[in-house]
Amino acid sequence: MRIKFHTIFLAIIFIPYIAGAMEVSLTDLPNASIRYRADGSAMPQSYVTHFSGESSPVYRLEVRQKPSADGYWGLALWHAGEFGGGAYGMETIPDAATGGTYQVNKLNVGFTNLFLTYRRPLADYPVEFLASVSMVRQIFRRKQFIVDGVDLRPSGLDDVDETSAEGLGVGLAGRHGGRFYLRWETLFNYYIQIFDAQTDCSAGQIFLAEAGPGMRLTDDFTIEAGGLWQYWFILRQGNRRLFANAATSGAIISWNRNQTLTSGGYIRLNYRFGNK
Amino acid sequence: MKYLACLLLMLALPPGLLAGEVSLYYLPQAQLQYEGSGYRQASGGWTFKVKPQDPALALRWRHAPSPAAAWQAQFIRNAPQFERSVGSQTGQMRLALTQLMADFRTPIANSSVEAVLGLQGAWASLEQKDIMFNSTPEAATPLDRLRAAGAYIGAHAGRTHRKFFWDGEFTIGHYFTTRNSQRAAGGSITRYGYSYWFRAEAGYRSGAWRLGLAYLRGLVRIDVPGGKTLPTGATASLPINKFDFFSPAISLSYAY
Repeated sequence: MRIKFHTIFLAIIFIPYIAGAMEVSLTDLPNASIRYRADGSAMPQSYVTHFSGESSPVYRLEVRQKPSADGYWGLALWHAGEFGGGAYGMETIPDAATGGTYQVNKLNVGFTNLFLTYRRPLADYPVEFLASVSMVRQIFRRKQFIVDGVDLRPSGLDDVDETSAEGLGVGLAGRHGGRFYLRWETLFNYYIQIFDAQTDCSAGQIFLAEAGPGMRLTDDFTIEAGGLWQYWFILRQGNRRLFANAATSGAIISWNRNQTLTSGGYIRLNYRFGNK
Repeated sequence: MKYLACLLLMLALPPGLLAGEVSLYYLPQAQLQYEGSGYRQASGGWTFKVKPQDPALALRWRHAPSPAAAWQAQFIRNAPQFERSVGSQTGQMRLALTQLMADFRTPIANSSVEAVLGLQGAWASLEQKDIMFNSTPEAATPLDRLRAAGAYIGAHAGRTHRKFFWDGEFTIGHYFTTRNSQRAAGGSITRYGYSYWFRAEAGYRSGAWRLGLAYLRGLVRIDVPGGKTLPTGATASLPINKFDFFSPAISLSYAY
């Protein structure tokens, strides 16, 4: 039996309704900026890649238990990428050996990340301490290659390349006000690679900061708008090449060191179930 | 001698400022592993490593004006000497790392754990000599100075049981600004960085004094516009700079 995406989405939405007092929020950055930088030993052509950047929606669906002074849990699923409507940018790889350009292609950088976060208030301040575990997966989609002067666009050559990491995080969050409020949150995550290790399993970091004002429209429903900034550094096995044409050394499709900055304005809808 | 001067300076401060606890950590064989990599073209890639084992010193000062709040400052520094470096160029490198952390900490509700929020700075110097690149000796002795500043969040817990104690903390930090002295154009990843630090210690307590065994572990990554070329084609700096620090330590604490 084939389960469609909207079935899973609706199931996640209605789990808290069935389970009792919980909150569900949907955060959308409709036009986030995703800037990707990378380098690695892709010899002999280059050590770096240049990416024009892309615009992409970023989605976060989060389910939380009812807040409690003894702590409560939340589960957040993030997604950005072509599947969610992300655009492609232009990746250019210079040929440092001979000058000029070795490779040009279109690139979409996306991710699907899952954060399980434990939240507990501080004793004397209106702030929550956060401790999280997360699994993150970055997805690189490439198409329309021109490699070493050979135009491979008519062949339809494309590629999907992925890497994952597992991490621990700590953070702080606060919500101040009543009907009109200000919410902020910051999370520092350190990653290792259990399944996708380089020689060194130390894999990188995600640092996240977001803040914005909101308004409670009904007892259970709030709407919020603000800004979000995310830094992501990840190490991985680089220098992979895709066979493109017998006349070339292949299309470069992975890099050792990867930095991705995601930023933009967001809208967040939050609904509290079982509050009556 | 410099470390002794720092300690005497701390002890010379007015007693009101020292209400709390001062801890001194001596790390007789601190392992500091450096790996630099990134933007330069050379067959086999561009990376070099050095792994000195030098003594190091850490100083921790906690000031707790109330049960609801405490301040803490920490300082860690190794005593660098030249060590053999290997990679796409070989030679001798003297590697020094200094980390300064200052934070606010407050209890989490219904818990003995404290949440930690602080600011951090890292300074590193990488001094090279006797460089060989492609079998050609390089006369230059470049010195690259790295600086980074940022924030961190973490958790701290500790307890005293009659004559014994244990204490530990873990922080994860991000560097918002980074600088280096041997800068180069080009490259790709040239800014930001991150860190984590872990400390665990346990030992014996007698009155205001505590004597313990500790383990310190840290990782500092500083990304800068490195890759500056020397006359032979060797490099004076690299953009991606990773420092792994770990060592057992002897700790001596005094509570005021």
